[in-house]
Amino acid sequence: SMTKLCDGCRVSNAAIYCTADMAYICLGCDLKVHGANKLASRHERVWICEVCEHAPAAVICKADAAALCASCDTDIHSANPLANRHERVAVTPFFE
Amino acid sequence: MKVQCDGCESAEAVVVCCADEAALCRECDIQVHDANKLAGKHHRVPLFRPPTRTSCDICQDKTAYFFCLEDRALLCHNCDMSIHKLTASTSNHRRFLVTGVAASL
Repeated sequence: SMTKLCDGCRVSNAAIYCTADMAYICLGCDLKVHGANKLASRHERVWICEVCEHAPAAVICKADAAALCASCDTDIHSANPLANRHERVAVTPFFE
Repeated sequence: MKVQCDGCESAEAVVVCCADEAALCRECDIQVHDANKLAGKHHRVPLFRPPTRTSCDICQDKTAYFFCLEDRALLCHNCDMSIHKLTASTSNHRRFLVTGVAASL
């Protein structure tokens, strides 16, 4: 499977990408690593694309309630004219 | 009244997909939602046919064809005209068609 393993524990699947550490981590490791101190808690994190489970997400599709990378966003939303109308907003990095 | 499929714009719709903001016939529903894994997760609400008749909230007699947002009432044609042609303010009420196409769970 293409799903990325957590760079921290190498056990769980990665759920988010930390742009500061340039690492893919699971939610458990995120809590541990970024909850450790004030500097670490300022690292910007983004969701990983729900479709390819590989690239960092660039947009959130409000209709699908899903985080998508740019290329999956194009693929999914060019499937038919109905999907093309879905409202999408840019992902904003989060800190917790 | 029937709801038209937003996909092919020719067949009668059998489901409503709120994520796609579309009413779909069976064939279009399959085509649209088999496209990829995200679309497949869309929850679709089945529609009942034939239509269900609802009575006017005012006269309790004739079939209601309009829902008024401001009055929060289902109205037959006669009561709708009586109420809404009466004053300048009531004539600005937002009224929607009631097709009688009921939604299932």
